[in-house]
Amino acid sequence: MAVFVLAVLQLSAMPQLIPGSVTPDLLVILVVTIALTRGAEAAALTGFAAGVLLDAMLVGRLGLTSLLYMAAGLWVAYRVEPSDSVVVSPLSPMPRPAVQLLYVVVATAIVQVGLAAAHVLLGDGYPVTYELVNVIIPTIVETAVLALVLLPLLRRLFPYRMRADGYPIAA
Amino acid sequence: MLIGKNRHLRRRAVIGLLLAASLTLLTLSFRQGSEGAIGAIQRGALAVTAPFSSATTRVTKPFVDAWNWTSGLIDARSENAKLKDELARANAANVQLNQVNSLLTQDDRLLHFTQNSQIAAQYPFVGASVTRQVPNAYSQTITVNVGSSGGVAVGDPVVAPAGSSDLFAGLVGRVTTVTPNASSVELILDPDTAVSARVQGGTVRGVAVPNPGNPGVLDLQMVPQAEQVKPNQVVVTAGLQPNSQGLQALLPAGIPIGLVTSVSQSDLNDVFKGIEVTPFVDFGSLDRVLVLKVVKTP
Repeated sequence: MAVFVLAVLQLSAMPQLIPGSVTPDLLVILVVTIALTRGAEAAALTGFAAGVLLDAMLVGRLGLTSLLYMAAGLWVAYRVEPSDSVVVSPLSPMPRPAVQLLYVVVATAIVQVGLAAAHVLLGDGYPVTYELVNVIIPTIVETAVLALVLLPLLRRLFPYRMRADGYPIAA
Repeated sequence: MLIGKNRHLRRRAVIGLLLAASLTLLTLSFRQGSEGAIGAIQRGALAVTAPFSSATTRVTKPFVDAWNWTSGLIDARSENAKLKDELARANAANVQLNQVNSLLTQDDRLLHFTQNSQIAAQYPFVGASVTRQVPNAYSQTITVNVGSSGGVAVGDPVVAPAGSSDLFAGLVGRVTTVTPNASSVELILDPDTAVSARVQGGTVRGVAVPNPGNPGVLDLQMVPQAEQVKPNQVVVTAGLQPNSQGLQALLPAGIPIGLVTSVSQSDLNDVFKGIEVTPFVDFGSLDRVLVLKVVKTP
């Protein structure tokens, strides 16, 4: 549901509300939130669903954005989850807000750089400098700014249920 | 506690499955384009999300309109400021053009004067610009940017463009001080100035002095009541010929001074007529002048 709402907002509302040629990536904020609060599996599932929906709505290469959202989600999840073989007790602490924001920035960078690289490799992208200056950096900045508001809201929607062993507790 | 092996495997399996699904979709997407199952998924997604998208657009439209209105207002304000700047620059350019035009007109009239006036044909002359003008009740002088290095000497008459007169130029005054590169000119409006004058086309002679009660106007004094003088007659300098006291006038003959504007003869006990002469030259806007080199410099 959250994926659907955010996808619609990202593609319908944001282009009108945010001036400029790029829009913030709301779905990556969701994927990062899920990775922080629910772990790797949930993040991968969310990233997959978000990517498929986004690519379907944009009539793009189905599966490309899914891969990138999954990569971003898994990177964040493995950063915060304890290692498989380590015993941790009590519960793993939630990263500080600034670190969460940093995760959003890095995750957005992963998605945007991945998309740009894919388009360049497929031969339908813009020059790298143009992509960097006009797409990647503005998207990261806008997403980071929006994450200041959206991250706390999404954390309330998806509260922290991760166990010390790194597996999310079923809701 | 240690992570269970089955959970570990499950996590890997789920992630692997999702990766495989993504890659499959990507491959199918490249193979089929917008046809087949991929196309159906995309069309289905569009159909499902379209109503929500249009609802979202309707909800956000007022905010977008408000934003556009506000940004439009800001743009209009900055545009207004820009246009005001451009208008100010255009006005400044217009003032400069008018000034240049005025100078060209004055130069044109002076050129006509030098080509058509007998007095200009008699004496060499030098053009000059007025660099300073000090008009007050006690002293009416101007400073011009030519001096002794240009052949100017004390006593030389100075003429300036004469407005709309057919005579093209009129008397301004007389050089009183000379430096190598500048000269001071005492205007005929100066209270201490008197110019020997005559009415053109007749024998009437008099002395043109500033009218103390009417700044900018001259009185033609010492004209006997018996003489015939009418308005609109031209008054010129009377010349160098010796007068009855054996004194010579300082200015050569024939330089236009002004037009007779009024002649009064009401007081029968008065020996002389009351004649007002309006100078040809507008002393309020002196820019270009000609100095007639009448006085021979050693």
